[in-house]
Amino acid sequence: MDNCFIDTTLEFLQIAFHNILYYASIYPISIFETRRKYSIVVYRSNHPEVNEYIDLCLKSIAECLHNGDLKRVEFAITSSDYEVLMKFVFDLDKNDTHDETRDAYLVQAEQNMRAFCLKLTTLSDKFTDLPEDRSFMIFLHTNESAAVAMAANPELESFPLVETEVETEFQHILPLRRFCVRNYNLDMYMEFR
Amino acid sequence: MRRRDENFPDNGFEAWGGYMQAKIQKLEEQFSSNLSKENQISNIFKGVSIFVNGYTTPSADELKELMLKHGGIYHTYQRSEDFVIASNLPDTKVKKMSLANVVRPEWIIDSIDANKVLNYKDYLLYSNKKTQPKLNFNKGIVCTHETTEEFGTKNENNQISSTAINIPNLIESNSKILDTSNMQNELKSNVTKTAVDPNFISEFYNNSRLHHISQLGAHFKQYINDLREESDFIFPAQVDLSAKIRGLNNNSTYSMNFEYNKIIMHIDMDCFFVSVGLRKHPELRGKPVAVTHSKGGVSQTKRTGVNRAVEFGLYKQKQNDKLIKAGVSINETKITSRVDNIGDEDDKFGSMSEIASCSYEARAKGITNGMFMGAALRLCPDLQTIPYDFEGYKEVAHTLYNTIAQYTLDIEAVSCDEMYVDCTELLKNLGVSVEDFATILRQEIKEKTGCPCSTGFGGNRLQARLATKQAKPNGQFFLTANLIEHFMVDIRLKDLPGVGRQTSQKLEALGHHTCGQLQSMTLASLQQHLGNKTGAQLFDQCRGRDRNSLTFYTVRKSVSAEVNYGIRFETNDQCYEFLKQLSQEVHSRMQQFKVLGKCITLKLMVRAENAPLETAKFLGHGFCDTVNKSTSLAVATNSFEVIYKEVLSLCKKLKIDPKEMRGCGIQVTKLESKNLKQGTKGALSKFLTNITKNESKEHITRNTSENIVTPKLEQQIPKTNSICLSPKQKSPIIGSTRSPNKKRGRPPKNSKAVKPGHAKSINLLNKFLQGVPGSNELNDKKEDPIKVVQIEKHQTKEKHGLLGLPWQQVRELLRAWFDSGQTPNFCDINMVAAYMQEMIFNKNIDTMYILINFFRRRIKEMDNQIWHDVQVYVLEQVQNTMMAVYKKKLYLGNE
Repeated sequence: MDNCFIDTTLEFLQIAFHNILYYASIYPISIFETRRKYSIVVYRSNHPEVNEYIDLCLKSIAECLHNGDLKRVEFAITSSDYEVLMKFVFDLDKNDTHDETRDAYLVQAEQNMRAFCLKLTTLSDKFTDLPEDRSFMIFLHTNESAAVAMAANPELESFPLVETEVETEFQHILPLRRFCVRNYNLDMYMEFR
Repeated sequence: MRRRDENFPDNGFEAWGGYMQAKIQKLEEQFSSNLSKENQISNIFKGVSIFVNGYTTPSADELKELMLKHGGIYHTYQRSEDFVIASNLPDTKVKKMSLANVVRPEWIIDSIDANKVLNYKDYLLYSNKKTQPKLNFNKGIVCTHETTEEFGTKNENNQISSTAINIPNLIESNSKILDTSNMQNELKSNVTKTAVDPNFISEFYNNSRLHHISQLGAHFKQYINDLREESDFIFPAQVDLSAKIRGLNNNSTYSMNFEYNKIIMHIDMDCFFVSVGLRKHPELRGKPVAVTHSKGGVSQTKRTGVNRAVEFGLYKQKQNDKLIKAGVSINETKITSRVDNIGDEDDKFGSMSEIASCSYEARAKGITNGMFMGAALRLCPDLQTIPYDFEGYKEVAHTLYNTIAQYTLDIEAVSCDEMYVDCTELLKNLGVSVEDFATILRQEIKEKTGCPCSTGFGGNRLQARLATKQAKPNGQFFLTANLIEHFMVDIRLKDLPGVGRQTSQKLEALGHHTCGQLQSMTLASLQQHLGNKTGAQLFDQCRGRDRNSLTFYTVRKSVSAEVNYGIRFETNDQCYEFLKQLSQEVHSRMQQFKVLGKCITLKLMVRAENAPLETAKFLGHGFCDTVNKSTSLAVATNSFEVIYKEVLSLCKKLKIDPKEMRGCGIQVTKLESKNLKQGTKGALSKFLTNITKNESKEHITRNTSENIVTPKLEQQIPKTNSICLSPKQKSPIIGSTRSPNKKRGRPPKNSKAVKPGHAKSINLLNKFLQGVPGSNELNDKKEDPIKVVQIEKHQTKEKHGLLGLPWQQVRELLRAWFDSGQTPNFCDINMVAAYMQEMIFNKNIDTMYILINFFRRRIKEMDNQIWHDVQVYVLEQVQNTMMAVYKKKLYLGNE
């Protein structure tokens, strides 16, 4: 996986996570500050512990991306006892018929990322049923060898992957956006009951 | 340039502003006070002030005197109203200054002759008329001087006297003539050869101290190797030594512990060259003595074209550039260099002969090894000089090595007067204390050689070396384990081996001067500042650690011969001839060391573009750019013919003007041992070498056959032979001569030799890349058969039109369909459903979702039962597909 894709994707995921936190009102508005990205206003948490968790997750994601073993990232909104209530799914699949010259400067990718961020603003009605003390989790879908490799990596020692057994099944999908960055397709949708 | 002039850091550079102002003022005061003393001849230059820029004839000093006598003012530092007197100016200066008042020195002289101030405009150095400045008589001098110096021609006498006559300055001519006659004598007695002379190389190597030192060093390394190879490691002399030490009866019971349980001795003769030289000159003992080529204190006649100021300026500039590159700002560090205290050539202190070694009496006055004679004389006017005594050095060094080698062969030879010895075993065998051993050993060396030496002991080579430094002169020092920590704190970083000017200046900029200070730095930050390797090395060194153990068996890595003194060629042929001799020298050295080499490097020193034509040091190389070119051979060789041929072709390719060359060197690397080589040498290569010999003989015979007609018939048989053999014989040589084209440092642009390789790698890459998607496809097929089926369907249904269309067009079609008012056709409904299904298969659900929402909204608007049924059917199809692909239903609002 090329570094360009990894960097772009990580940046996008970071922005997406922070904005979901904001729009799903998982934390009070006061911890967010505004930033400008993709030529629009985005929100960013300035709470150190929240940011640390997100950054460490992103570091693991980066490692998985380097190995090319990342299938899916899920951003789950949970209740206070970590029962998953809904999740934002970021599917990654390789586009074999990718044309190198297409979107060489990632202009379309940027527009698509902006569209995703704007799309989040339209989802407020989906968050109305969530409990007051909601929380969130980030899931990585990878294969076992990558998980073992990462467990052995001293850099990620302080933040190991924890395997989850319970996979909450949802009934519905709400497509959000699908676009490609370089030779990968990013497919975003929400899952909920 | 390598050693810093430590004792004279205060050269005025650090306090430029205040100091300079004071100096200028003082100089002007001096000038005006002189004015009153001197009897003024005339007042023609009243109100005229001059500033002399660069080299002029008459010289600045003479002009100063003239101005003094004729009522003018001479400024040592330029003022805006000054006339600038110059004979020629370098380009850079010309660009910087306004040329309106740059006047040739003849203006002053002619004005004095005419007894009035002439119009200076007639003497402008750079007038707008673009006429060449008249240099006719100057030119004459340059020519004659060049010839006398370069060839040492026999009719010097005539030429020199003619130059003396040509010198226009009548006031000074008397002393000049004296000077030149001096020079005549010197030239007569001691004609210095240039590289053009056929005997130059042997002469050069006979006189080059660096050559002798390195040759001796290499010789002793080889000597130890040989001794170790031949020795059975039984040392009968140890018994005598042991007895001698016991007989001394001052058994110091105090036993010393060294780190790592090793005892490494470093032994170094005290100012080797001087003490050897003093054996022949006992009358000079106790006096400041220096070993140098220079006669000391005899001033040389100034050679024209020499511009020391410019050359030294260039050296300084280079030093500055290096520092800037190293990230050290100049303001913080004072720049001192060896050339600081050198006067001009006709000065008493102008000698640029290097001091190879000086006695401790001289060192006390601030003289250091490597200092130029001129600077040294300034410090110590009664400095005695003794010539080199290369035979003596050899003899003493041999005695030294033999003395040690009779006890142990765990010796690492460093140079002719310096070695490391691992005494761990030896002392165990002897059963004596280190202290007694050192005393006795030093006594023995002193007796045998008549020269003092110092020894240092430590747990590793670094400690031993630092201990020797402490022991000098004529002493011994034991750096035991308990002393080290304390000892290292005060060691200056400059004294560590491997810490040169560059590194020490960098460290000084960081505020570190001693090892103790450096110990506070972490390994990581040291490495960050100095690079990984040096950083780690220093980190160890400043704690007295040294990872390198002694190497008793040294392997030679390169053989080279280099001359950068006296290289003044006129033509290419002279240059080629010289390279031939140099190749011969390399060849004989390779034979001496029994090695063959694969890589031949030609090193040329070329006069830097802005350096003066004549060098500051007589026949030295001056300020140069170095050019290195190398070529690799297929087979290791030490053959003179091959080396010469390669070097010649390299030299021809470089296309350097032979007149600009200042130094030549040939180096052979990638060495193989000759003995080893012969073992592996196959019959084929032997066969080939035999042929080469035959072939060369053949050439000779053929040449003779042209002259002598009679043996022609006999010659014919070998001739045909040679024709048969020549292709075979030639092929390896062709291979070796072509290789430089391919392997030379930088690949030539657009070179075809590189392209095929490139293309090949691309091809391979492409193949690899093409291979990968293929396998991926296979995987996909296995994983997900539906997809494959879908793709096939897609291809077959493309004719139906709808499936190939983008979703926006489909939406328009749907709109038209809804608006048509017809009852929906079943096949149309299926087609729409199939389109949406396909979008799900392709995971384009975000656009599919828009389409579905459009579909549902329009049907809701129509409020028609048939269309409702259509919608239910289509949605059912879509949700089924969603279940198949995503295992979840599409969210369609809270129904």
